[in-house]
Amino acid sequence: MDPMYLALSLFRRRHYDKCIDICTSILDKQPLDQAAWCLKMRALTQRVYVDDLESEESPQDDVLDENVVASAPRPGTSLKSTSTAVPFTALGARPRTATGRPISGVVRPGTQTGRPGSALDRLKTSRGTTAQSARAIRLGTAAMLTQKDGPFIQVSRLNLAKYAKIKTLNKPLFEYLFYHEGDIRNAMELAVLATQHCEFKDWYWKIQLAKCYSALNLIRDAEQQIRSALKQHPHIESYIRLIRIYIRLDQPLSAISLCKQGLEVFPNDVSIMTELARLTEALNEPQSSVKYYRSIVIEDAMNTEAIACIGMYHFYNNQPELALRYYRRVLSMGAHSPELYNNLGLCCLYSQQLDLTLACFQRALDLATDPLIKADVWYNLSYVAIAAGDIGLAIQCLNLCLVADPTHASAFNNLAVLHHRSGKPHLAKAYFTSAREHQPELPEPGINLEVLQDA
Amino acid sequence: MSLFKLRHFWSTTSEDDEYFDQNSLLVTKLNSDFDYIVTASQSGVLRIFNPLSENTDDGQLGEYHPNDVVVERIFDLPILQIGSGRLVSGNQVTHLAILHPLLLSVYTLIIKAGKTSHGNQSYLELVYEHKLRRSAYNLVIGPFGSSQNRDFICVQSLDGLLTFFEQESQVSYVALTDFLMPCPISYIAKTDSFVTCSSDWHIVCYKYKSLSEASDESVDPIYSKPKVVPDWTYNLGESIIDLTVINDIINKEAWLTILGEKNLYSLNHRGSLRFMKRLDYPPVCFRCYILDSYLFTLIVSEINMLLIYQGTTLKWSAHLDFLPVTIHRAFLKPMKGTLVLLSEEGRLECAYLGTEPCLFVAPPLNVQELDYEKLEKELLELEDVIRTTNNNDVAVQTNIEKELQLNLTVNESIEICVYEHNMKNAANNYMCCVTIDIVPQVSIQEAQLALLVQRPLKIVPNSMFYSNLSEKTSITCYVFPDESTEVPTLALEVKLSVISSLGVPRALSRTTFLPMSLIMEPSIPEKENTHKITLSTSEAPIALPTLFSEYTHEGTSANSIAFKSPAGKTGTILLGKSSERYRLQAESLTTLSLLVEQLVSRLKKYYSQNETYRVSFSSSLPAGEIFEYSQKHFLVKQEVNSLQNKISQLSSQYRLIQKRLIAKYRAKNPSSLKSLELLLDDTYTDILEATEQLENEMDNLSKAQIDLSCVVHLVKQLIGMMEIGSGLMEMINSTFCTRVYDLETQSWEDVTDTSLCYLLRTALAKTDKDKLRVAHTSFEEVKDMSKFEKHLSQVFERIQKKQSLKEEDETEDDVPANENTNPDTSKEDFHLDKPIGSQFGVSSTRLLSARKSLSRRRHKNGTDTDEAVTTVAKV
Repeated sequence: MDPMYLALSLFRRRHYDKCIDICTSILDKQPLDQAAWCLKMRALTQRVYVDDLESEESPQDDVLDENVVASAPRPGTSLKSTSTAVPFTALGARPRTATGRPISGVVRPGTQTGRPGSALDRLKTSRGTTAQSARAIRLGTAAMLTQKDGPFIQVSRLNLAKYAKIKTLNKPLFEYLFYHEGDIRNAMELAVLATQHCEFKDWYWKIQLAKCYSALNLIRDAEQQIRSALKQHPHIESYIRLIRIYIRLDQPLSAISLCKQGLEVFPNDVSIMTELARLTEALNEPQSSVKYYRSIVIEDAMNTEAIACIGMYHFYNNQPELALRYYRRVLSMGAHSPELYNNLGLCCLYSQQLDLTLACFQRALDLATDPLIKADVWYNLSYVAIAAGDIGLAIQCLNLCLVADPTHASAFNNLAVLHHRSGKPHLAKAYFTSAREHQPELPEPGINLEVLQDA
Repeated sequence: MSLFKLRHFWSTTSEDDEYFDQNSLLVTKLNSDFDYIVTASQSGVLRIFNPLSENTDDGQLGEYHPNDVVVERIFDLPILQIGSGRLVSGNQVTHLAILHPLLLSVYTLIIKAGKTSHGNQSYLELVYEHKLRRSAYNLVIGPFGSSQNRDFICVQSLDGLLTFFEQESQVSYVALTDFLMPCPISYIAKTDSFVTCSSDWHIVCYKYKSLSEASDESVDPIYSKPKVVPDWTYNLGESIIDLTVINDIINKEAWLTILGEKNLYSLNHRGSLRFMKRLDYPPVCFRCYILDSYLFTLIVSEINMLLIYQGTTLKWSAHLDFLPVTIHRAFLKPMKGTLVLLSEEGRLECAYLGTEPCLFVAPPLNVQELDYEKLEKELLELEDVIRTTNNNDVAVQTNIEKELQLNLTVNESIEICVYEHNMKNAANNYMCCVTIDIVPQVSIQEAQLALLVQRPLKIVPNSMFYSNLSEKTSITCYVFPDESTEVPTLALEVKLSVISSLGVPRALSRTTFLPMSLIMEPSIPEKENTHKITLSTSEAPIALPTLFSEYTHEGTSANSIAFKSPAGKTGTILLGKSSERYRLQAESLTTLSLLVEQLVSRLKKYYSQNETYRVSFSSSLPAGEIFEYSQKHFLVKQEVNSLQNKISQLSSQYRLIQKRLIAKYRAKNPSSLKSLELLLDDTYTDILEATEQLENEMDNLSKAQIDLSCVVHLVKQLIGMMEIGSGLMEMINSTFCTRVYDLETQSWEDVTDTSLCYLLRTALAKTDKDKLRVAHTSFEEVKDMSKFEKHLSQVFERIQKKQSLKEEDETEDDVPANENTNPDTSKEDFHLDKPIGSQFGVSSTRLLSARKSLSRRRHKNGTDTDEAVTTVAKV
């Protein structure tokens, strides 16, 4: 069999390492075989490829960010401002993350970086953060490790102007530079040359340029490129990229109108609807968010994010029984995580199915390895204890929660309330103070402290 | 994740070492009523199956039976692809086309019905074969050129050559333009054209007519490169995994479906998009079919899932047991629409979608029976966890001394320094050796030893880390002066923090003095000098040579001794001839700090038996000098700050210019970069210059810090000798921090000023009214040194007043003096239960309540204070 055929077949069957080996041996014999070179490049790229739409990490606020439109945006037009009008329900206010956004039903790309106290330390340096995230750097080093005799392509010696003109090679080369090498600067240079060479007629290059620009934090240029690409060629990914850019620019309303525009071109598209639903949720419009999630479920009944978010909406809307049904659906699909059991336990508790409550929490505790999740489970168990009237147990649960996560502000607050009820106002005051220190946005400790002050 | 699972009912596997790919599976009718399944491995084995050829009686679906294999034939060449069609001229029978790397052969399947129950006899018969000029990649079969009842073959080679065969005759070659790697190719019967994906990730469609016109038999098409004009192209922007064309016979439409690496596309035959769907998983293979004029797509994802879409809507999803490389639909006799899956190792399965959900069952919990003893144990464990983290248990913390001994030995002899230091003239090139023994009585998990000396002294090594410490360990360190400046103190602090084997953290600290000869050199006594301090003692003075025995040599006067500091300044200690006084005098106040420290410590050591021995200081504190030094420090610090600001401004400017440069690079019509380059260079030079200045200023700052710390240390010692009550002394100790640190946002003055204000409001308050005002709880930057001076001098004044008050009391009446201070100290104690620093952290609410209780206490204590006033009034 022709080695090239074998290499292609191995590539298709995702045996990238074997494919690379065969390509290397072809290239040893014929160093100028473009097809083998290109295939090896693509195999190397595919091996480390991470979908950059799903794993996008939004860079934290830049000191020299000149893209900020308004420092004090009007209510409802920004994702950054913490809304003060928290909708209250009988189950209490929907909890928020430490940055003030409502906690959503699932973990999504770009939401894990916002732990409090991480962004502040970098402010003093005059060099702003670029979005060349740790991931890009990691990819580069990971590729170097497995390469025995030096890198496959010496990027610095590459004649980018020459390759930019070869239509059949430039796109794989770009992806290689961008994903495998993580060399955004050279990738951008190639994209610039290529887009000039095809007289700005290929929308692909505009999107790639936008990718580079947004990685280099030149967001406005990226926006321009995608807008122009979308004029040429409608593509779901282009819409999503532009939406993400508006989110980064903190212009949720533009992002929403863009989502709606995209949905006109691609009716019922799940990815765009997901963006829309996330956006409306972040803007504190749970009703419309759930509406979109419902249409997602109609289109794609296996969408865990949508099901979980609808479940959560029902939970905070005083319908724990309905929420329980949604979560059970997620469970029967095979998700087996501590968070899910935790949610199931809470739903059981509030829908009076007390026999199942403790079993669910027991499972959640058995599965939880991450201390933050363990803390949340213990926190919720304290509610079970309070519901059972066992204040001592509740205090123990909250203490265990604080053992796992010493910055859990709500736990401090509840502990304070319990101690106050058991006649220790000074201890309560101290706990309230530390709750407020850990999360100043949380309204309860402040209000409670005022009450204590007046008494 | 899925509710359902694919149910397989018929499966077989191939031999070992056989590999299959996308094109290795074919489902075709082959002239019968139902579908045959044909597999061809890359090792050259061709198998034809007729699953479930024999129906079992009870209507159950049977398992694999050896009779299901129609033909198995081993070829010498690998098989790349198999196809079927009416490939023999003048014959309407479907034949099999087999593509080898350099050979295309067409076979016919002949089935002879068996006479007995042994079954049928089947074999393949070669009809014709074509030698290929180039290594083949794949083939496509169809009625090209709208021919009726005939199928032609088109073979794509690895280097992009399309070879057309009209049945037995070879017709034409054509090379594709812009070709690099072969892609799946398909034929659209409706428009008589071919679609494939070009290497620049476009979907291209060529009319058969234009391809056959461009072909030229005479020249090798690879070199002649005839220009084939595509009918249409569609810019996909990603590489594809597979593409198929489905003909909707009812609506007379052709659906072109493309599985890209990230998206699924559907185009019509003119190349415009019908729909696309973003796939949030990596797809492996797919298959399309039309049902009721809807397009259905089966996609297999890399995580072993089969997803069925109607258009873009997900209709069904099922879990697969294995990952197939290709999937087909087959119409078998007992079951229509069976799914046929083939894995790369040759596992062939026929399956159907079961509607019975396969629910995920979580592994059962094993705590069914409550074991109360065990639960109690668990509860105790958990309570233990809470206890240990909260550190509520004080009892376990006290006996650290029993578990651990820490001994310090200072070697009095001075060695020549072997370490690098910053001293310019190495006249005083000494170091001294310190040995530290750690004797643990129990095993210790982790221990960290930190050794602290004040600048300019340096200790090497300054920290040590031990884990699993169980035996006696000793460590030798060397102390030497790092810079030739004054030394504030010779104290060496050793701090040991340990985590015991139980996980309890402990800390231990020891202080000792280093030998004086490390720093001070003997000198000639001077009669007079600018700075003088007089100390009086309660007992008869001791001759100086006795105290400073190491400096004593013949001819030393009993009443005076002099030293020279590393900075080259001299200090003299004189013994008062008649009175019990020592007079210390020096060129500069900074030298005196060390002399006072040494004199007092040596006197105390000498009189260590005598508990009532006291050294006291009664003249006025050198407030002016302290202020001078802090003023100096403040100015330098301000200079440093302004330089730092300048650098940060310059570097942000530098960054802006860089950004601007990038923007210019990207500009469509390039303009000259000269001016920006000039700016960039200029800024760069400015930054360098400022950095150099900063380095100089940092040197000055460090000198100023050391001087300041000398003076502060001296004042602290003097205040200590004034005997103003231990509570107040503790507060003053924490107010005057001898280690002068300047943080980026907080300099020594800021901290000290706030502490001074706090002192003035609380312990040193003039009136009770002052005490009621809320003390400072926030740090403010000191901008105006005159305020600082005022606070400082006020503090000194009040300290002195307190002392004189007490002295008067003492002279008047010795016994009530102690009682007299009580009202004061009781009030102080209320504040003094914590060091100052930590009190600033307490929020204002706490202070508010403190104020309330204070006022209450004041009412209670009111009578006591009145008494105190009356005693003073008597005087």
